[in-house]
Amino acid sequence: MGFKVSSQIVTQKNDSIVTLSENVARKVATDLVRYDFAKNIIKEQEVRIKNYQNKELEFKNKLDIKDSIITYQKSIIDIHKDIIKSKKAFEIHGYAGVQSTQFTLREPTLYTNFMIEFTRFSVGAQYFVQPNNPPGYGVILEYNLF
Amino acid sequence: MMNYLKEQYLAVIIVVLWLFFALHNQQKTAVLLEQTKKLEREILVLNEKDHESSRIIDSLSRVDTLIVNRIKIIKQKEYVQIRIIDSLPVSGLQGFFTDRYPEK
Repeated sequence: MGFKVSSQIVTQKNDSIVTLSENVARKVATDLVRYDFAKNIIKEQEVRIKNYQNKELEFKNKLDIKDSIITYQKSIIDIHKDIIKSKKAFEIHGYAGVQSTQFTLREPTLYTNFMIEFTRFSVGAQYFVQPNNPPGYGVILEYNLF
Repeated sequence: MMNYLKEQYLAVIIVVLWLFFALHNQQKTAVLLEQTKKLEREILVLNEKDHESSRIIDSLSRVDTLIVNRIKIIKQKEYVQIRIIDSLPVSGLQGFFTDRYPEK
């Protein structure tokens, strides 16, 4: 026992009739339903793609913001380094040395320096002894040229 | 007093120089601290923008979840519709085609 379903395809030239079996007609109907729903799904997917694009833009924006924050924080670190450098406490050093008279070994001066050294300049005292001369002392003021 | 200062001119020079450098450093530090504050303010603004961006991303993620749910519902409806088509009698199938492609 077989059911016959007919579907008509109307053309302008003549009224041709295409006969489909029930099975084929059911498949055609199923495909049409699938097609209708696929169109709806495509619409939703398009919205989803747009949503993803917006999300990507926001992520890029976020990345730019993070980059800027890092740059600013680096600047702050540099400034703090400068502040630390300018606020660096003085250092105390002691030196002992010998100084010749011209390029000879005659009457060399032996000296010791006690220096308080700041970033830009140093201040201290010197005690020196020299053969055939009385020992002496003095104040040293140095400016850091380079 | 003046004579004493004249005698100790080196000490006076050292003190004056020391004061000059100390004040100069103080001024420089104040300028640098002001720059730091300005940068910190800008970082705060950027953090606000970052939070706003995170909020937008969250809301977009929620929208995505909604779309996925809508797609699931569409697929469920599709499944139901196909089951209906499968169980339609021949007259129902004829009706389906007639409704879909009405003759003018």
